[in-house]
Amino acid sequence: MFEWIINSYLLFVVLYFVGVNVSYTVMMILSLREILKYMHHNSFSDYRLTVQSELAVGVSVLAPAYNEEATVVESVRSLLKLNYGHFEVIVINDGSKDRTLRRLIDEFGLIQSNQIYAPEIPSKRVRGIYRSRVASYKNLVIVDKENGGKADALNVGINVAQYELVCVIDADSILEEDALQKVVKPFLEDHRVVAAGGIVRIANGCEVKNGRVVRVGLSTHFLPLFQVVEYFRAFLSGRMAWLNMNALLIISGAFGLFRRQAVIDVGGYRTDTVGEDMEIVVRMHRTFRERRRPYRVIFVPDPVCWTEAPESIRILQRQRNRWHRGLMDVMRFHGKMLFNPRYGAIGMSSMPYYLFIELLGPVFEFIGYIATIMLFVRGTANLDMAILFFIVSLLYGVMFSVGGVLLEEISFRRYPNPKHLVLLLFIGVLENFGYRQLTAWWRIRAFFDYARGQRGWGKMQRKGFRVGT
Amino acid sequence: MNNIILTAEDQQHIRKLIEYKLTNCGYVVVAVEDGVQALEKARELMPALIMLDVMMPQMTGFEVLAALKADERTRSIPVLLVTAQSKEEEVLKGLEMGAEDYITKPFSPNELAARVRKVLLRKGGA
Amino acid sequence: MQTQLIIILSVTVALTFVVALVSIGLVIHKAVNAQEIRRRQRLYTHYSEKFAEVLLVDLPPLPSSARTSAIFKQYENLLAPVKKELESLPPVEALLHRKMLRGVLVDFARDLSGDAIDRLIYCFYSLDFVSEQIELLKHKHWWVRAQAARDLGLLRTRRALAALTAALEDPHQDVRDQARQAIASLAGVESLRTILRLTRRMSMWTALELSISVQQYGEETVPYLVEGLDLPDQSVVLFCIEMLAVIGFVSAVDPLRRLAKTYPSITVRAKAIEAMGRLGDQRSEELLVSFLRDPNPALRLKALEALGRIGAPAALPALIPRLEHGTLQEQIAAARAIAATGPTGTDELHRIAATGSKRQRAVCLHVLEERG
Repeated sequence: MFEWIINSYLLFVVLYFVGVNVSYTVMMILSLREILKYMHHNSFSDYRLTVQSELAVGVSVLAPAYNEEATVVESVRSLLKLNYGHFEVIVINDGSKDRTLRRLIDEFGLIQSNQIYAPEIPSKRVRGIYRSRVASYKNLVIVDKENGGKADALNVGINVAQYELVCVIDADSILEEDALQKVVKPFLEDHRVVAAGGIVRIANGCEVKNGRVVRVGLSTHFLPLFQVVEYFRAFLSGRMAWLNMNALLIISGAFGLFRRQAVIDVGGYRTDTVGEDMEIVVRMHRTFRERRRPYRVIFVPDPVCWTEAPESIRILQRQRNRWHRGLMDVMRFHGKMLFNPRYGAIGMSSMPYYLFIELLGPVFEFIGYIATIMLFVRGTANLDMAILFFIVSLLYGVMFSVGGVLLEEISFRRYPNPKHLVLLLFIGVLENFGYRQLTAWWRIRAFFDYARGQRGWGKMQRKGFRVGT
Repeated sequence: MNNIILTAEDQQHIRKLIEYKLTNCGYVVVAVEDGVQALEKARELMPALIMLDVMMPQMTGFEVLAALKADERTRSIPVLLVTAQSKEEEVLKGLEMGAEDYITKPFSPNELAARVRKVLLRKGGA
Repeated sequence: MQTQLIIILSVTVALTFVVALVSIGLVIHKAVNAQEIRRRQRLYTHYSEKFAEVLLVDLPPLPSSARTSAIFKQYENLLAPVKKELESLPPVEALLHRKMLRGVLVDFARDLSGDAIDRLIYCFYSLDFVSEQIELLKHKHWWVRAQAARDLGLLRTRRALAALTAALEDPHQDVRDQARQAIASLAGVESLRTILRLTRRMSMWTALELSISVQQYGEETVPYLVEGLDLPDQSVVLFCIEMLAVIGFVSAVDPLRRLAKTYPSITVRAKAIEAMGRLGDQRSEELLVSFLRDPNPALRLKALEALGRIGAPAALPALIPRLEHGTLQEQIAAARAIAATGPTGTDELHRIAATGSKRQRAVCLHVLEERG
């Protein structure tokens, strides 16, 4: 009887993984198509036009900062050097307890400003706005406010922003020089575009000088390497696939571009969730579909943003815990869209995908492992089922990890050295024997944390830009 | 006064073209491909004229110009800016920052040589 | 169960094998590619140096006709060594060389003007690239067609005009856009009329590209732009208004006044008002003031902004009440317009900054700080 339950469960989980694999394969093919289309479409674009022409739209770059005194000046300097025509850099000091604001004031010659703005999105109190006396920093705006979290800081930034587009980044995002040019273009080509995300690459192991990645490299530590491969799989072969159906649900908080008015129209970021970056995009989909307003959410596969990945297990674990809890928040807030044809591809394809594969996947997988182990312990192992399970979960996992690496190689090839490619392929295989199970376990724990009511951020360590390896 | 011209241009084919043209006109041309090298060479060689492309990666022509004017040694070297078409603001900004003259892309090599000559004459005279 | 398992196992093994093969293949490809890239780089440098020389050689400028004249002979002599070199290569090599060569010519064409462009065009014809590119306009891949259209435009190849006009009907959007862009550069300013007529739903990106050509032609485009104001497609009308404002041809104010008053769409009317401000014509002042009390907030805002650009002292009495009405944006624009009228206006702002309501004070301080 007991065995029958175990075997049935294993059968279920095998079928589940077959379903997952089919989805992944379809997504990879769709992604490949989208990437090639993107590359061809932009191969003869002169991005310099967005910088040169009078007609180009302006961008307000929002950089929320909390206790970043070690790195904030460097970050701001590199943002000011972005190669774009009309843009401003708005740093929102989210009630830092350290000398973040002081450092900025001293470094950039800031004085209090009488600048006013319409507080279209409600937020915590703004204590003051600062601008620089120095002419070359005239497009720098510092907003000092009471602590309210990243989402609240972003909302303030959006209120203060003067341009049509807002660029949302993390304080430790390293942007490429022409990042704005590349990500602005889709907004110019199609007036329906309300949000665009960019690929986030791992900067660990790269040589970073003056806030720019000058040489691409790979870290010598395992954890960042696993994340590189993971990001290929998630970003390159994952997100691109949703573009065609206008069902892209996540735009990374590390780099995103939005039409300011669209964000205001949906009410700004929610401040009561850790997954604010995903939540606002989902809410945009929902709101615009409900209002029947034509819109598009797109993704630019061109690598334009680099970020430092956690190198310690504890920090990585916190990050993944947070991501998973954010996903749960989104499901909870917008569960009504699931399988609801009114929400088109979002309701019928991408929300179910995120629920059954991203959210619940680790659970099914883990119970599968436990079931298999129990069978072995019992000695009455039905080897067939176990082997099947092993194949469809792990072996195919290897293939998708490797597939992600290959996709990168076919398209953007940011890693010039063949040795890098070999290393990444090897990591792709290795990823599935330990790392993946680890992250799955963390995600399961996130369920318990969520159930216990833990909704906050935890501590993140800011290390600043790495130079060399 | 020497007849060394320092030019900073990141696009290789244009850099070569400028180098050849000005060499044909009788100048000694030192061509670099980014702003950082331009500053180094400027301080080392003290050329008679510096030509800067505005749109360069890593360090724009404006940044180089600002650094040149901030440095006592290089402050008096005339700077010719190469700007993109239709960017009136860029031109004004450059002139305000102390550039001697400018030329817009697309440009004619002959016109470039004429501009260079004009600037050198102006500066040489005083 | 056994057979099914074996089938699945074999399929998996086969797939793994395939993936492994592909991986190895790509690794090898990458290693080889590194060399290939270096080679291309060397070729590019080689040809860019060669052609830099060709472009700079001291020869009289190319005559526009009489292809048998002695001057053409001299140019031919310049190109002879390059041609000989190409001929002596095996076909696969030659293809790569030609590709790099074409890249060099196109890159030069983007940044040079005057005599240099004429020479480049000559080289393009003489090295037989024109017929090759015209052929490529019929290629099965749309990106090849689009690239061909773009190159033909950059190299101003008039002979390709017929083929490019045909490409305006290409099934793929990008090819149509590039063809339109190419025609704008090479067919002279008159082509603007056709292009504006044929364009539908112009995106901002297309407008950007087209604006570069329009700006290069300058004031000659004005009659065509004015004509364009009567076209049915709203995006084209908006483009024409924008271009008129950028070029700054003051007499364009008259058709703009008409648009601002009577056009059915608010977007266009607002744009026309904005353009009147940018053209800076004092004669528009009265009309702009009449919009200050318009029920539509977009028009009021644009009128205030336009007055801010023109600087209209006579409008001061009409502007001051605007500090109390409308959205924050309108109030800020009103303050800017008041400041732009001159010292009287600025004094007025200072006064209100000290004595007005809380909102008025904030607005005035904001604008006064802006003006430095």
